[in-house]
Amino acid sequence: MRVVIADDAVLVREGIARLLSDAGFEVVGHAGDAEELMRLVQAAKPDVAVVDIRMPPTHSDEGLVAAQEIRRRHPLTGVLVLSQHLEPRYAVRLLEEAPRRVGYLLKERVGRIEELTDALRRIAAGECVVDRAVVDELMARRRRRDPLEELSRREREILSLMAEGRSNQAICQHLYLSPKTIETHIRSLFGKLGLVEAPRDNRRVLAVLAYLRS
Amino acid sequence: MRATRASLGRRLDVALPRIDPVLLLPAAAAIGLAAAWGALSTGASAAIGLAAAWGALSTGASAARVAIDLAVAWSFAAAAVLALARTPHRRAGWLMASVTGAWFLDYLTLSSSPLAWTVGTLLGTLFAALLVQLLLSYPGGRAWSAPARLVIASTYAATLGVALLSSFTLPDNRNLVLVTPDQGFADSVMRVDSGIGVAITLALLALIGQRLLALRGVARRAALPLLVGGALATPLSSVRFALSVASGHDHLVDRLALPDQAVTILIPLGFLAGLLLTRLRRSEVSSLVVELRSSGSQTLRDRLAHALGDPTLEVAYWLEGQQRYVDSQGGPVALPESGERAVTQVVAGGVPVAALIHEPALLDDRDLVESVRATAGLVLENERLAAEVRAQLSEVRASRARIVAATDSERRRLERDLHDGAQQRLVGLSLQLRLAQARTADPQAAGALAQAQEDLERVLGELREFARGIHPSILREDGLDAAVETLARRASLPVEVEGSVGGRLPDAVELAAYFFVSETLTNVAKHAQASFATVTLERRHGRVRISVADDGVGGADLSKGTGLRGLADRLAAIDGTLGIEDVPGGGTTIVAEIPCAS
Repeated sequence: MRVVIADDAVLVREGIARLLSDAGFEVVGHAGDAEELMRLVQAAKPDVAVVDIRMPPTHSDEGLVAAQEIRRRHPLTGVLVLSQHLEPRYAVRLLEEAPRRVGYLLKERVGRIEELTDALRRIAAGECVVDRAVVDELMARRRRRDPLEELSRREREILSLMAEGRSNQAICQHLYLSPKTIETHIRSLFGKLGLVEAPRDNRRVLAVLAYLRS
Repeated sequence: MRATRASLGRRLDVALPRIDPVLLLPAAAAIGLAAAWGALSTGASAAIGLAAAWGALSTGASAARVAIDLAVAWSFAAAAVLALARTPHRRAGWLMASVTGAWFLDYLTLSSSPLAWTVGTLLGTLFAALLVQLLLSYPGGRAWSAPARLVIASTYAATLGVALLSSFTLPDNRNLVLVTPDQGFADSVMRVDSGIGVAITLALLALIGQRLLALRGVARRAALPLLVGGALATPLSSVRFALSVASGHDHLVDRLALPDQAVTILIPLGFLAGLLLTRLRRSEVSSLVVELRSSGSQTLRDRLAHALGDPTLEVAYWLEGQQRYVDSQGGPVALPESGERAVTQVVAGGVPVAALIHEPALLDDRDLVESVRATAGLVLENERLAAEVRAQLSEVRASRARIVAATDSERRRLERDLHDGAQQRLVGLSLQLRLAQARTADPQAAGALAQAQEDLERVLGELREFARGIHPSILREDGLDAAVETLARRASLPVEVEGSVGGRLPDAVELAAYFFVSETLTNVAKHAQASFATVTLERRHGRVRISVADDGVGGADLSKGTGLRGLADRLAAIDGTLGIEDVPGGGTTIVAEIPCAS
């Protein structure tokens, strides 16, 4: 898989590149800022771009803006945004335009190379990825009348996995359950939450996130 | 105003028997004295008048005329004495004294002495020129304009020139300057003089009218009574001059002589009325001070402005410590440097207290300003102290706002440093640990590295929370509504958010509002034993109102603990307020209101 990496910290950039190379990924370029990244993507046409959310000049959301730009201009290139912020709003901002081939991962995950490579593979396969800490925070919200309390433990697990952007098949593998059982659970929990069953594609993640944020 | 008095005198003279010139010597002496002295006392002018009157009456002159002349001359004398005692009116005072002296000069034509007769004939109309000069240079003492100067010069030239010219041919055995006796020529000259008189009086009226229209404010008030007196006295003279030119109306001209003389009194009376008005104003200043001492000084400026009759008056207070002037609210004031505005310093006990900034014309009445300076000093000093406190207060407020702003920007800097410095390095370190882990064959070392990496991940999580507490990026990126939503989600009790502030607010407002909600929710969770809280956001009329309501046990108190106090202080730094309402039946609502310019 061909990957480019954009981060203004050389140490981080090099580290990720080494780890990904060791894991069998082909790192085809580095960028230190959004402008360089856009040129690199245009030239190298990578499968996925790994982008730090904070980049020069303002170190605020340049990475997020660049990610959306890449998704608009290069539909075949996926983007994984690495972020310091445990903030669902940013993840949703990234997903809401087109919930395909994008991911939002906390930056501290990069040391766990398996999570990084898993996210990259899922993105390259057209899925989307939401960091589980982001989902956990949404799930943990205290509500006055909490419909989540009516869910079984299993249903809550499945809801979390859906919010992370997992497909039914991935959920099956994760929980060692049959597709049929998963589908039953999903129908049941959607009913309890009063959600119309969302389409089976990636849009489901947006519906679930929207529900959890409301 | 009197016109063609010389001819009148001549007629009197013709009609009356000669009298002993010795009788008129005291009068002549007194007149000379008056010209030199300027009638410094009413006694002197009374003596002149009485001497002249005695002389005139003993020649059989009309008692009515003598009475009117005395009244007019004494009025001028009184006005002159008062004017000479006041610096801005000194020149007018000299002119009025001269009018007093010149008023009786034509009485000399009643004398049998050739010298006295000749002097009386030549200078008998000098008073008219003096009156024109008085009017056209009032109150400053200098001619208002080039046309005014021209009219004054013409009047002098006409009165003196015509008298001399006609005297050359006037047949009289006392005439010392007689060249060729020719009554016809003398009469023609007098007729020309009357024509000139018409022109001059009309020009005088026009100039006075123009002046009255042009003057404004204090200057107008000062000059108005005398100029109006002059304007009322002049038209009758114009009529008599006109009748003289036409000839054949001698009877009417004579009939109007006494009224014409009498109305001249309006000029000194106008001056006296002006002084009286000023005095009334001054007593108003005194009562103002009494009033000020007993009531609040909030409207000191208004009252001073009213007392001085200058609505544009400004009061600037001197702050000795800071060497600058401030207004009553403590805001800076720059003293004007141009001549558009005048500045009067008020000093108490040798120390500058305040400066009055006013119309320059106010200085024409030094006494008035002086009385304010003298009587309002104490009140101004009190007000100055109050202004000083307000200035210090506004300085303190400004510095508090600066401190908070500095803290805010320091927070932002710190958060940035944490993310872009420490956090990036730790992430780099985590990557290196992972690489080392992959390259070691020793399972024990690999385990230790994996453990270290796990710890590092926790540290990164803590660092992330720490940075968020210092300055949340969501607030900077997406504004208050989004940041409050995050606070509500992360609170340890259920929190609902209602309303919104819609759009961005100034940084300082957003940050203060954010910390208000954050702190308040933490307090509710810790102390209120509440089951839920509601955050309500609204923005209207240039203010943001944020309330945090809970259903807990109540008892939040600004005076207890430092949490709420600190919040109140932080809000006050940006002119915000904090309020606590205990809701009957349980629960507390804490409300912050912050003005926001946008």
